[in-house]
Amino acid sequence: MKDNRIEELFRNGLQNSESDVPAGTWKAIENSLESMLPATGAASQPASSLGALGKVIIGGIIVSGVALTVYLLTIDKEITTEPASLVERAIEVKNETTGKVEAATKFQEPNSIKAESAVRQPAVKETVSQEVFSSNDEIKPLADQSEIISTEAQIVEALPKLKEPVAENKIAETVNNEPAEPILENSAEQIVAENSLLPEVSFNDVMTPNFDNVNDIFRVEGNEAVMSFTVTVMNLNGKVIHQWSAPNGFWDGRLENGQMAPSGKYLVDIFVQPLKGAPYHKPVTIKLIR
Amino acid sequence: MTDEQLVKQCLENNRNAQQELFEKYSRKMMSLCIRYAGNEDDAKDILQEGFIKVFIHLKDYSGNGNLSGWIKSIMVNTALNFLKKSVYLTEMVQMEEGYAVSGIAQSESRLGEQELMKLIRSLPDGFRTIFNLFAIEGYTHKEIAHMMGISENTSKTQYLRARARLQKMINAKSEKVIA
Repeated sequence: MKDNRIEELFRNGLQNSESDVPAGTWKAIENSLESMLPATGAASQPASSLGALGKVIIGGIIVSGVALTVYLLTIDKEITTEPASLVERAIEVKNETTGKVEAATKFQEPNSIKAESAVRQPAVKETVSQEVFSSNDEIKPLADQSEIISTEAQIVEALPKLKEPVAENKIAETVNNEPAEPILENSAEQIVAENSLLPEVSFNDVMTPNFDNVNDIFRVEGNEAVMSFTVTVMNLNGKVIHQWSAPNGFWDGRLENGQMAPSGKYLVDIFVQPLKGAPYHKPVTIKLIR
Repeated sequence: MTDEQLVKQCLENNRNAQQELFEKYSRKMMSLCIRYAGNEDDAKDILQEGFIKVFIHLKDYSGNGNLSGWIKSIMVNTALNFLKKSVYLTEMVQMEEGYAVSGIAQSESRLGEQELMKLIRSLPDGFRTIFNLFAIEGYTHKEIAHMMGISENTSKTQYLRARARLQKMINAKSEKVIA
């Protein structure tokens, strides 16, 4: 009986095993998260660390990088008189991206662009971005960092859509309709989400153990934020009658010796261990009616 | 990216980072969920719910210990909550079978991951849960008793029965091979 080979066999064989995750699982999670933890989209890290999605949409980043560049070039052309070759190049790039550039650039406020934004996209053609960088010296750097962040967030959001040729108008629409502030200031929503997840236990404080299947047992249920709880049923003198500590535990209205407990009030202590934060006691009184 | 960096970015609700964390651990966790649920459909629901909990409670992850273990414990908890709907206690009482363990066939050590998984999945809910918790996740009977709302003794006897059941299936398998 002391042989542990079965345990070893299964533990070694299965504790690190992997299984295919059904398609759409992440999508479903993402949808749920949207209402609970709205994305800040603070994608301030370089594209290389964007993760799996980053790899997929890297093409989109290139387009958007080029878009920025082209736009910068366009502004530059107005502010400073640049050599014609640069403008030509801009047109060249524009042609390469088959018109998607326009859609992607519409939402950009001229002042909110810093040369750095373009340079940060590593995939942008080296020469173009260098020229932009040097030609941008006259543009005063933007003081408000948050605007840049939200701009980038919008870019990242818009990226998947850039892949679809028909989506050009949509991008302009989405982006224009989107105010810049809510993306960053969602703390109020977060607080609401947190409040709805405070550890709570629910129970019916009256029990009628007469075998009619209505309130025959006393049980406690915890919400999502409750890790576990321990319920102790005592008589009015504090003598413990029954105790359990699991979701499906209950009291059937019997004393320790199996006899029916008499009608009356009973003290119940519910010791709650929340998923987060300190555990606490919740003393309640229940009524047993026969 | 290290887990630490990943967690930091997830806490900023960076969707890309959250997806990366999901993709990093979801295959392992899916396997765990199947082990508890016994089928893919329920496992997917548990996985989904579990990961949402992971992201909501990530701010409480202390950073000590490994992230994988922390995620795992949330998954196990979610799975147990899910399984409580199927009343495993009643089922257990009815499982009156002996748990004498006979000799272990040599061939069993050759069982592959797929076969082990199949064996576990064929166990009834109650047995499967206890076997998973004790043999694979390595919880003590005391912990299991607390988690499942049963006595320590029930946990022990039910575990031995689950184990005997598996043993029987393994032996039957190897006999078939020999014959």
